[in-house]
Amino acid sequence: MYVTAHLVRSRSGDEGINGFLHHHGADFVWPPDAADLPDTTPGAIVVRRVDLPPGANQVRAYLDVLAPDGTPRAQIAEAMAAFARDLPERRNPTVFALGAVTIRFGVERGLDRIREAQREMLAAVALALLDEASSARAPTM
Amino acid sequence: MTKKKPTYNVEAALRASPRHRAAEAAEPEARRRTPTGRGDAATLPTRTPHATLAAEAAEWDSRRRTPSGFTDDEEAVPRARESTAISLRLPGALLALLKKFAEREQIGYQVLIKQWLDDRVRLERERLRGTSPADSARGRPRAPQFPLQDRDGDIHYQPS
Repeated sequence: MYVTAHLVRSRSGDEGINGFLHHHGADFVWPPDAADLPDTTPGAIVVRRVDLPPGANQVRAYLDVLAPDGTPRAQIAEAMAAFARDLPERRNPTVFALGAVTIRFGVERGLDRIREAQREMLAAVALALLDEASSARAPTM
Repeated sequence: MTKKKPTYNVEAALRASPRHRAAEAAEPEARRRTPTGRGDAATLPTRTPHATLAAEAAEWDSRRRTPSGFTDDEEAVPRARESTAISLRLPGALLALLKKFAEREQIGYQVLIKQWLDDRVRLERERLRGTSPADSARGRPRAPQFPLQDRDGDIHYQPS
C-alpha cells in the first residue's frame, strides 16, 4: 500500500492537494526497504483525490506513507504520530520507518518554517484516503 | 565613587508605558466580559496579572530564575529519555560559523550540530565495517529532493 498526498501549485498559481492511494496486491512481496517503492513499484491506484489536474505542477510538499496492504489503520496512525514527534529533529526531506510503515516527507525551501503545519495537513489527507478505501470495502447493511 | 551598574526594571518600564496604562484601564471591563456575554463568574477566563508576568520576566532577566530545574515534556521533545545533556565549550568563531550554517538550513544550531555528529558517526561506523561511504549513501533510503514536478501517471512526482 502506498498513499501519497502532495501540495501542488499550477503554472497559473493555483494551489491544491492531490492524493492517491495504491494497493500492491496479495502476491506482492513487501521489501525490507520500502522507501524506493513510489519511484519503482507504486502499485495500482484505488482511490484518488485531485484538486489540480496532475501534470507539470510544482510539488511544494509531499507525504508518502508505505506499508504492506492490509496494515491496520491504527498501526499507520501510530507511525504517523511517532513521525510527527520526531520531525523537529529531522532533516528536510526525510525518510522515517517504524515497523512495517515507512514515511517520506519533504517541503520545498520556502515552506521550511511551516513544515509541521504542512505535515499535519498532508497526513490528514492521507488518512482520509485510507478511510475512504476502507468505507468503500465495508459491506452495506 | 563607584559607578552604579545600569539595570533595566521590566516591571517599571511596563507600568510606565502608555500602552500598559491603557490596557490596565480597560482590564476591569475586559474581565467583566465573558465568551457568552452573560457575566457569569464561573465562565470567566483566568488571567495572569501583568505585574506577575513582569516580575517573572525580571527574574529571568536577572538570572534569579533559570531553566536548571525544568524538565523536558516527553511528548514535546523526542527521545527525551535517551538524551543526555552535556556542557561543551566551543571557540566563539566556530560557534558563530555553526550558527550561520544553521541559519542557512533554517534550523537551530544545536539541531545542526546533532545532525552533523550523526553524519560523522555513521561515516566512521561504515569505515569500521569496511564499506565505503559511497556504498553506504547508495544503500540509504533517500527522500526525493526539490524541485519536484508532478506527473500524470503512476509515478506521481519526480525531480523537475
